Amino acid sequence: MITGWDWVILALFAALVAQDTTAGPQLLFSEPLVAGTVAGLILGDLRLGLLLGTAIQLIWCGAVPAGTAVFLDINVGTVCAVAVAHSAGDAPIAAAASVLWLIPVGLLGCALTEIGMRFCGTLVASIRPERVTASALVLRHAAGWLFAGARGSVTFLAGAGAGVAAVPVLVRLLGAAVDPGVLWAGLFGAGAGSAIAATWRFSKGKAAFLGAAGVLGAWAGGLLPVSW
Amino acid sequence: MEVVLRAFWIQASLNYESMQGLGRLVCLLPAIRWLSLPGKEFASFVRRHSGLFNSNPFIATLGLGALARLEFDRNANPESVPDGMIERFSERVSTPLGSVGDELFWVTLRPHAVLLGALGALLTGVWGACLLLVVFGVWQGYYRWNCFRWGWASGARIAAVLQSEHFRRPAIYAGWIASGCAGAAFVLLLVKSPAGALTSKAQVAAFAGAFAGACAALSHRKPATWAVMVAIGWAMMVSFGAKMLCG
Repeated sequence: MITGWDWVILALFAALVAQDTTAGPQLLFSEPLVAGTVAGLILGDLRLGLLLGTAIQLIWCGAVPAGTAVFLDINVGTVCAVAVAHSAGDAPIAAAASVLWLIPVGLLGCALTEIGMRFCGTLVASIRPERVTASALVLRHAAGWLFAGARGSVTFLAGAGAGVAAVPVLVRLLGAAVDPGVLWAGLFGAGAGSAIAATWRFSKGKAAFLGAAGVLGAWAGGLLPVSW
Repeated sequence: MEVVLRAFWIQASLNYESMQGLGRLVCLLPAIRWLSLPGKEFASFVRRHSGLFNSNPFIATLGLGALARLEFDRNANPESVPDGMIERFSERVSTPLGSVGDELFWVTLRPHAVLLGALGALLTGVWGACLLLVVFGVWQGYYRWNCFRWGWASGARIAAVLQSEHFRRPAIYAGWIASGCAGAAFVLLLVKSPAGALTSKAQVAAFAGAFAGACAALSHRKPATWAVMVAIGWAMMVSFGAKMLCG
């Protein structure tokens, strides 16, 4: 159950997350791992926030909001996913369904980001060097930052509002078709694959990868609790 | 110092026409306050800096340091910085600052911090999120502050900084650490994921199939959303198969 205050605090937090993603200060508290954990903390369900934050972080660890590239706004989407999973009753299948729900929310965030860039374009075009003052420049710049915040709040409220209605349907559909443990094993498998693909292609650390995996693998060799 | 602090918000007014053009202008305002330009000169300063500026936000201070130095030199000796030089410099430096910075931060340092954080989350829970913030905070603090110093010292010759060893070396170490973390995370997810350990053949099959699907999708430059779809589809097939086998 999400209270009215929770909605308000989460909407404000989503605004900060959207600002940190594209506008500043870009300290990376908007990354899914941190945003999910904080959203879980706000809702009093740290375990759910951490679970979703870690899974989403690993799956989308190669996606970056660089330049004008179109990207899925997974950061605000994570806050939304935690809220929706919490309202749907925190069952493992609801948490998995909220990861799916993140995709349309991310697309909405992406569309609003583009509108924000056009809005900033009109702000910049209105500058007349002969008449402009330093404070007018700062105000125009700050307006762009505030727009990013509004974008985050709107994305969250629209995404979570619709998600509260849509995710229970997804939960019923998924629940009938898949075992929750198997679904989460698949999602974390995708996370591990994405993390490896993101680092393997670009970095020169293949030896480090194999070394760390080998050492931990040897250590875990006797611990893997799989019954064949 | 104020220029570096303002540079944390350089992308606030990011737009398609001038990219971080207005952000660059706002960041440079504290630097020109020393010069106390008269009204006409201020308008000319705004005109010089209202064109395109596109840099990776984390190393934008390199360009800002160089631009502040050029403004300072121009004020001290107008002949040392000819008309149009600052505008040309801004445009020409945009591509290298964007590409070198993106490669350094988005491709290497961010995945390194994110994977260290994820590994920390798998091992210690909430401390993983703190680790991510601290590690990336240290990297960006180092680059933002030093880039401004290097830019101020080099002026228009910042290409040498971008090619220098001390600028690029941290990326190599970070790449090794990121790869090590990815390997360790892979093993830890097998043993102890936040959703519980893999305790049945069906779970192991779902993990392995989704892992292979994600590797294949991302190595063919498909978005991670594909990996999620493949994982869910595969998990459904595995669940269905397990139900059939169990009767």
